[in-house]
This record gives sequence, C-alpha cells and structure tokens, in this order.
Amino acid sequence: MPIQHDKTDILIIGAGASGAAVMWDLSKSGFKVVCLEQGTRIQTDQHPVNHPNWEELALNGWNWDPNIRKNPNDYPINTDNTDINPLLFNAVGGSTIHWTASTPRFHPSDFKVKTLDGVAYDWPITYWDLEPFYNKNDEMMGVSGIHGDPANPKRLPKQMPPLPLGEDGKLIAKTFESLGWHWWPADANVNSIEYKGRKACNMCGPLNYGCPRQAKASTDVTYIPEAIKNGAELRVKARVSKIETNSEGKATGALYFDKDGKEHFQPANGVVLAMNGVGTPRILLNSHSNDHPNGLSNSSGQVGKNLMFHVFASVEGIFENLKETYKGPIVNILISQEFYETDITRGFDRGYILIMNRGTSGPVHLSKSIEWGKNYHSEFEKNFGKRLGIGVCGEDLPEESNYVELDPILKDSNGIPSPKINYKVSKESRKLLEHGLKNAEIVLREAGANKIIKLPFSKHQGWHLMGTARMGEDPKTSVVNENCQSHDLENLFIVDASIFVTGGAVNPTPTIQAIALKTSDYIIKSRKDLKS
Amino acid sequence: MRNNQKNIDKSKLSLLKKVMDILIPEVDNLPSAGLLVTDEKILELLNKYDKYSSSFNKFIDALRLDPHCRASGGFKSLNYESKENVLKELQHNIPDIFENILELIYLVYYSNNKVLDRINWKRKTLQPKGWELEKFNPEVLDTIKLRKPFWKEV
Repeated sequence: MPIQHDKTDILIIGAGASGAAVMWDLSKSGFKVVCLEQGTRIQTDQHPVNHPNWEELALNGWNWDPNIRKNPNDYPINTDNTDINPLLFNAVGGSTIHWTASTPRFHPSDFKVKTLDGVAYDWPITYWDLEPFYNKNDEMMGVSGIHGDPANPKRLPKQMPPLPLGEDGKLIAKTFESLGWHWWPADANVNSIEYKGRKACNMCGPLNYGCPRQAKASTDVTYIPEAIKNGAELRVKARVSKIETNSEGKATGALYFDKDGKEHFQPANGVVLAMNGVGTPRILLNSHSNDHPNGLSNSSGQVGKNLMFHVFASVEGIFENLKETYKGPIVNILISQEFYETDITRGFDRGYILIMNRGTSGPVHLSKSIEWGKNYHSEFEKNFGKRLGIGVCGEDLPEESNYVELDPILKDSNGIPSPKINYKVSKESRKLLEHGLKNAEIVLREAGANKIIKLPFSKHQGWHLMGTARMGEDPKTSVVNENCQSHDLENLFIVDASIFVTGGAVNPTPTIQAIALKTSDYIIKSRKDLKS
Repeated sequence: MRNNQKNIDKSKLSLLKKVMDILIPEVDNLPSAGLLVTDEKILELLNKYDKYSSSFNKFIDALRLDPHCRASGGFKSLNYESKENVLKELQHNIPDIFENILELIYLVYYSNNKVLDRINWKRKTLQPKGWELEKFNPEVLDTIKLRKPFWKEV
C-alpha cells in the first residue's frame, strides 16, 4: 500500500519554469500547494563554472541530453527514431537550471497561423490575452533588454538595461544595419545590474552551465523561494508514476516514488502537470485505467501527438582581427527578427530568427569542431577566441506523425515506462533552415569573416519540447481548453509547453510561464472550489 | 555510472597514447599528446565515465582489428601517413565512438598546465572573476530605432 499523505488543494508535478510560477501564484493566494519534483536541489558549488574541469562536467554530468548525463534523477529516453534528441534537466528549477535564459516573446501572429497562413491551427487565445501575464512574469524573473523594438509590439520598460554588446556584438549589429536587416539587443532573464537581491552577470560565458552568482534567473532562485515563503511545500526526489482518478471523472492525486523507492499517494483537489513536452504526455499515457484506456485526458487521441522542436543550426565565422570572443555570455547579445513573419516568396510558411553567439567557449569545445592531426595546432590558433556564430532558430509546425509514446521495453529506475520519441524534420522545416543558414552566412561574410564554418545539422538541439497535449476549443482535436484545463477532467491542468498549439520561432520559456500564470489566475478567480 | 574502478588494460592504454600522438602532434616546446599526458589523468576519466570507457574499449578493439594494422604488425608499426589514414577510416566507420575518444583526449590534453599556459588560457575557473565588457550604450540603436514597426497585426 502506498504511503498516504494529507490532502492538499493543488498538487503540482514538476518544479521547472511553469510549475514554479504556478506554485508561487497559487500559494500567494492562499491555496495549499504541494509540488513534487523528481530531481534535487542543485547547490551552487556544483555548478561547472566554479570548477577548473568545467568542460568535463559540461560534457558529462551537466550534459543537456539525459541519455548522456545519466544522473540518478534522469529517466532514459528512446531516441532511436528521431532526427532531434530532447534535451532537458531534472532538478528544482527544471531546465531553467541549464537554459541560456534568452527570453524573446511570441509575436501576435504566432497565435493565428491558420488564419494568416493557412497552416496548422490557431490558438484559442491571443498575444493580448497573455500580455499581462508576460509582464507579471518579467517582474518576477527580471528582464535585461530595452523597449522600442520595431519587430515586436510595444511593451513596458524592461527591468534592467541590456547586457553589454561587446566589440564583437557591435560589429555584427553594424553588419545587420548595412544589410538593411533588423537587429535588437536580446531580451534575457540575466541580470545586467543587481535585481531582487541577485547579483549582476559578470560575463563568465557559458551561462548554460550554472550561475553561482544567481544572475541568471532559474526558477530555483526566483519563484520557488518566494513560493516556499508563502507556505508551499516542495518535495524533491519524488518521481510521479501515475495520476489517479475517481468514478466522477476527476483527478484525485498522484502516485509517486521517493528516493528509497517507496510508493506514496498524494491526494489533491486539483492537479497541475508541469513536466515538459515529453514528461507530461509520458505520465498521462502511463495513467491509463479502465475508465481511461488510452491514457488520461486522451479522449481526443491527441496526447503525445504533434511534438514540435524548433529547428536549429548554426554558421560560424573566423575573424582574424577579433581577440578573445569567449569573453561574455555565449548568447543574449542580439537577435534579428527580419525573417520572422511569413513571406511566401521564400517558398515556406512562417519564419525564423537569427541569433548571434560567441561560438565555442573553451578549448575542448573548440577542439571538437576543428581538424585533428598535422594541422591541429595551427587550426586551433586560427579559431580560438576568434569565432563568432549566427544561429538560426526556426518554426517547426505540428504534425501528428511526430509524437511521444511509451516505450514497451525501456523503463526508468522505478520501473516507469520511458518515453519514445518519433520525430522527423519536415521538408518545409529543412527549406526554412536552409534559407536561414544562407542569410547567416551572408551576415558573417559581410562582417568580415576570413573563413566560414558551416556546422552540420545535429541531433543534439531539442531544447524546446512543445505541442504534445495541445490547447484548443474542440475536445475532439485538443487536450486542454483556453484555461489549460483538461477537456476530460475538470480539475486537471497542464501548464508546460505540451499545450502549445504552434511553437513560434523564439525561445518558449516566457510564453510557457505567461500561460502558467494565466492558468493560476483562472484557478484563483474561478476555481475556489479547489480551495479547502 | 561513475567512480567505478575499472580494470583498464595497460596495453590498450599504451596504444591510445600512440593514437593521441597522431591526433595532437608536438608543438613549440611541447611533445605530442601521448608523450605529454599522464596515465593517471586518462585513467581518471575512464574510471569516472562509462561513456569514455566503453568507447575506449570499442575503439581499441576496432583499431586492433583494422586490416592495415593487422597486416603491418599493429598500429604502432605503421608509418605516419598510414596511421593517419587508419584513424580517418575509423572516424568514418564508427563516428560516435571516435567522437567520444576525441573528447576524452582533448579533456586530458587541456587539463595539462603546460598546454593551458601555451594557449594563454589562464581562466581555468570561469567564476568568480568572469570578464569585463563595456556597458551597453543605447546610442548604438540610433539607426535601427528609425525603422517603423513591422510586426504583423492580427
């Protein structure tokens, strides 16, 4: 028999970007909240940037890919049938521990792609519905940036000035201007000045490998401490296997395993899933029962379907006149949204952004991308501290043939079936990527690059996991409604990027968090029945 | 799996060091990688990470089975060009394993202080010092600010 816990108002599963935001908002409004997280708290002394062997740690225990990382908190993922591997992190703070904290917003057009371009589906909500929640999230996470960007709607002044451009950033900015293309300083949840007691960034570089200064706004240093002050309870090393339901068609709570493998049951009035676009469909599918034979909240058959990643690739240039391009954050410098909206003359729908990056940060990372052998040292000298890159991040439209399912054999250490990813990059997405890479090369050549390096399309780029429990008005074709409430179970909510109808062409986290806050706002205002 | 003490065959280790000599040759006053690095550092990483130890075993097995090596009495007996060709072929035939071997070798090489001094990479630990960059100057936006909004109204 599982160990029984006292009933809570709201049970949140996952303490990452979205779960933490809901945890804070609901606890602030007097809801009794328990959050279960399969990972642990990462202490700042564990962050690779504190260690001389930071590249070793980055490539192993802090690898983005859980199949390489193989930490005890990770679950294996079957990636035999996918062009892109999902990258994620299991810890308090979730993948925000690991993210680069680049935080552009979706465009208004992203919510209406069917109306505008005749592709995929429209969202049942608009940019303007989300705007107040984007603003609320910005206040909590803190945005470095500057208003006035002509590529995006007007918005409130940002909390902090932009991060420095650096001499290299200025060069690329001027190049975009000489081409007549848009550029703007990147929005980032990285402090350019001290904010809410967290220090300013000191430009160490690879901010994806931890930030002991807490300049990077991972949710373990933003939402979660505030939620705990409000009385929310966070239980770590708590791996959920199944959501339980009753005969009235309601979710009653979740079964989970603790660090010793003991099974528990946490009952709740309402359940919020926040496990990302792979973890959430995994648990929904694993929660099948006689009443829900195809998995929970899956009367539409859409759970796990329409998996989207952003398509991503990069071109780098060697600049003989630049020195020490490893100085400064690897990204969060500037982006161009010149090619964001659909232009049918390009031969594909929707668009992409161009993101300046500082290329390879340390000697080991650089060496992996140059020739070994006789010319190794001369190549190293030509490249080290002299590389800049332009990444292309493009929209990847939803397709039912891209999906997450339960693997019939592979299981995690608690015996819970692993997810299997079935995903192919579409011809449309490849066309878009090709277009973007040509333009990235134009920028680097125009900026004076002495040599261009086209980095090959890599499997290891699935940072953004979206679309596997999509939002919609019609219960026959979607999993949740505009309030992220399950069509099938009125007290079950999904707040991670599973609910995305389409993925835009920008980093999704501010949109995920805005949607999470919109959902908690709905619960606070309209679901007082869930409060004891 | 980490921190297991694995039984690493010394002859395999010696062969890996010969491979390292080809991948990272001598430069300035530094000898080639195999002559420069210590067994201890390689063993440390092999013991720490299954990814490297399993690739190491597969890589050495593939090297020993390579027809050119077998015909010439082993990799060590080949001339420089032949060694290079054998490694290029392995890189093509077993790319994932080869990539892990390269990663292992670079990690070992760039843990050596003489190597780090040579490339002037003094910031072995990125924190707490970080780097200094000039603060953002809004004047750089003067031109782009003149552009009219071009996001699509819905």
